[in-house]
Amino acid sequence: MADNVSYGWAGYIARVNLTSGDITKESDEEMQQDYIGGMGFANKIMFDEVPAGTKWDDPENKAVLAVGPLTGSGVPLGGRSTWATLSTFTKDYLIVDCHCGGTLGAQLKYSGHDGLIIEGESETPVYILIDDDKISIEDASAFWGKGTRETTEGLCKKHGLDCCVAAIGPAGENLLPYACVMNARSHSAGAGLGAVLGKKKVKAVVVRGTKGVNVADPQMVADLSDYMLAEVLGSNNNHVVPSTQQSWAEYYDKGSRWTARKGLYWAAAEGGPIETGEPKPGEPNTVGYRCMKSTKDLGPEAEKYTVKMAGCHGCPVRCYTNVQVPRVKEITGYSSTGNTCVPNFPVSSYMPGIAPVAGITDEDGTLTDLSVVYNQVVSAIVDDLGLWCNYAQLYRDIAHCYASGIFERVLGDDYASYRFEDFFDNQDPTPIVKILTDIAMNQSEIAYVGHGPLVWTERWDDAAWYDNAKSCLINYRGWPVHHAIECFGQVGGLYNMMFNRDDMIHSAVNFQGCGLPIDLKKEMAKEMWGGEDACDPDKAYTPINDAKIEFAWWSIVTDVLHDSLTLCNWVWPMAMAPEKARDYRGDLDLEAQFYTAVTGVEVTTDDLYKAAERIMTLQRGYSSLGMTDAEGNMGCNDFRNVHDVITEWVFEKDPDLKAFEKGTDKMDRDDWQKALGMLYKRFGWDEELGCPTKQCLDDLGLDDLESALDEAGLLVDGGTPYDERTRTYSGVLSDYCGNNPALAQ
Amino acid sequence: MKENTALEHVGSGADRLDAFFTRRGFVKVSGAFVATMAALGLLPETAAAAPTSSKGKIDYYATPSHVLKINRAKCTGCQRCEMSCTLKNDGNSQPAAARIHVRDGFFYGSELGSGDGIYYSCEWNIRQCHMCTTAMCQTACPHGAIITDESTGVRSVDPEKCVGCGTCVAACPYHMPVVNSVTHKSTKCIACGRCAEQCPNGALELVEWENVNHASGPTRQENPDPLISEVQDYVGGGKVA
Repeated sequence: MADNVSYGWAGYIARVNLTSGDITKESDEEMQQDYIGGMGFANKIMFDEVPAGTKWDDPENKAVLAVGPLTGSGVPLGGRSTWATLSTFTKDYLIVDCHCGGTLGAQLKYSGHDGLIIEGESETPVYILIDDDKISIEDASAFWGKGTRETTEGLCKKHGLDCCVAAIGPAGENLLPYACVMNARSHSAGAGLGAVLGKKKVKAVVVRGTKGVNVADPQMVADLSDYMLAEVLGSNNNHVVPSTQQSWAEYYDKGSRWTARKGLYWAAAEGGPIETGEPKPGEPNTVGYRCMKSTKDLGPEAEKYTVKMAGCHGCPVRCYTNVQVPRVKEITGYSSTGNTCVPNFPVSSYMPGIAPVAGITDEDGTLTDLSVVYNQVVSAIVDDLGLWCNYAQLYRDIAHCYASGIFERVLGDDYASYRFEDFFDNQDPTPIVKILTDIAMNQSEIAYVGHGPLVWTERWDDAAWYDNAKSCLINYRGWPVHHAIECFGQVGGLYNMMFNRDDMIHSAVNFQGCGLPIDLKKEMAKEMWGGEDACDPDKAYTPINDAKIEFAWWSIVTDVLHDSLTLCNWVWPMAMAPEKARDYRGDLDLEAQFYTAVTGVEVTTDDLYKAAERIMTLQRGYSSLGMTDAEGNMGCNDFRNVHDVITEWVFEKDPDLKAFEKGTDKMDRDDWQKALGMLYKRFGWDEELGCPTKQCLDDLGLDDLESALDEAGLLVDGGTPYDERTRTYSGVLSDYCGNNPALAQ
Repeated sequence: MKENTALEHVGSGADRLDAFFTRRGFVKVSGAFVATMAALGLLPETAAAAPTSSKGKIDYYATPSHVLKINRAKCTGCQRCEMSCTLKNDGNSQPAAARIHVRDGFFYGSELGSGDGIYYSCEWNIRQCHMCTTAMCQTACPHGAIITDESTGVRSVDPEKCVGCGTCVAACPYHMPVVNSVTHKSTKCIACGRCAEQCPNGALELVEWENVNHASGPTRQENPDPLISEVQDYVGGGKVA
């Protein structure tokens, strides 16, 4: 561009050094094409600047927040952001991504920054204030000790109600490994990031952005948005059929998150109830009613408390519950609560299977009014404490430690003070206040449950928990399932191994739950992943094959792509659509078309997938530098035997059934090992070890990583060349996309 | 259950301003002409006595053809309206310069203590241009930079004349115009309706002009919750010493 305008990207990353007090900014232009933004930028910066072997609580660790070219640009669902830092609770303190929605990412972009690098350590509590170009380190001593709500309110009072405050609570201050960073009331960046900021004495990041995102072709962004809202986008998780039978819909599926229906209301709305009704495809102005999340998660009694839905910046799918429950206010002090993920249903979804909670369901199994109270009390508390749950592991572990007698054994005299019996048996939600607060304060024995299973199972002598299917722990390095083997068997299992935390990949589970019949899904699978056998009906799985590997690879790269662009992978990619006229096909090229319209840089879907593969491979290689082997030596590239080790229960569950029999998602050991090798090959990695090869590093242009691996003795030859392992995705669904405005050009 | 249709309004005072000018007979220059136009049905009566330009010179009398009508109970805070507005009218995505405002009230409503916002009532205001019969932004502009479109009656900012002084922002009873922090020019709504097209909840509607001063929704709760920062003895929902 001759006019030297940066389109999409703001073009700069801010760097705040808390040790020296230096505040600088630097261009990110050189990273844009190869690493996109968001996760890509954050991972690249961590790899370049944080040496392998650094501990999460060392001053040398950094917290890197980044957004991408589509963040805040007007592209639907472009409100997310990704932080990267070192893990506080999984094995070896390797790099993790901490994603969050809310308004943080968009505000950062509007301030003129694609990223914020927080490095060093402060001696006293501080917050970082970003007010467009003005960045400062401010005294936070008045806010230290406060919950995230009070901190946010105080900082907004001081700096303006339009500021986005991303704050840690007591959990972060007290260095609890499960601490998170909260913005916009209930949007959390987890994976221990709160403890990293707490160690650096950063109470909050306050951002106000009044600038714009320059867009190369604003008309095309508008036209593509209209097209997407009218016929491609579904509901939360891109579920594309309603959950009840409706006159306009050919299909319905009771599991769908398209839960609007006649007679279902935002019953506590101002001015009187608002009916969710029957929002149909082709109605852009009713998209935000499709997902009625309060009753979906909390049961029918939540309707009367429902004010409305909400969610992240820029997203037309409103998946966030907003309820006002008087009893919750009485217990917690907070009138407004709600979430879309685990903190919306922490008790009812994760505890009863391990320790029954009396009174939260009726005789028919329907959730009761009490369940709304139990769930939302926890929701209000954990958000204020800045306490993250390791994708519900905290709740499963609390229930298990109570039910199996571990708490009684290890908590000593404190045990009685937690009143577990009242919480589980006597329909009294109030004991959870002390339980969670003590965990967050990180000063008593019970807090170890918030250090993650890697720590507490050893401390409290319960290694067997990993091998119990009820634990849902999927990897011995300390993280639980995030749509694992129950999601297309090997496909879900494979992508649950990839990162250093739970995967947060939704590309596959969205397809699984979208509500379309399996025969149609198989047709779509053939078009997208090269074979109808990429997907099987639930619990009727078949052995691994090439199409399943392609599906798993695609799930991983699309997730990484979205976390880099940044788009919401809880709904993207557009693999399916609600519109019958397009045979329910989605539009896989929308990311590339939006990217081109926003940045002015022509790219294809395959270009973007390759960039995502580069980012995934970078994280993989960076991880191997810090990973320890069986003897505890740092530097290990045997991912198959050290990192990608799935927990035993997946092979042992359902003892009366064999793997691949109908009725089970049990896995087969030999098939699993074969699947790992096939996935490694698809990425160009070593088929035995699962580490990046010289060939794939050359193909992806990861020269710095190649040098680092070589120096560490971890570089291996071999690997399938890029052209021999990849396939073309651009245009695979274009026959169904006649109304796509970018194709009309 | 009864469906939500319209909202009660807590008066902001702007409606009284209109009445003030009407009573004073502020418009004298071409009152007869205007009355004739109105009698012929070419202008709505409410427009007849309203001054619409600065510097005492009257150049047009019609009320704007359209206005945004809003229902804040339906707003879910996605702020797509703001991005859609600036994509269409400025060629970039810049919510802080948008002609409709959600972002500044999303957390705490019209002001801290209003009892509104995502942290309290889960209601907040969508602030939109009321397309006043007496456009204070226009009359106050010392440079005559806010002009009236002859076909629609909509006032817009002439960027050539605007110096970004912010007088329009101060003069508007709703402080709707914004001086763009990058271009240093004022912006105001031109009733293009793009925001409404992209509202996923139908909280915005571009309608033929009517007086919307009574339909903007309340600006605060009748009995707001006390501020957490003022009464807080809760951290994490538990009373702490």
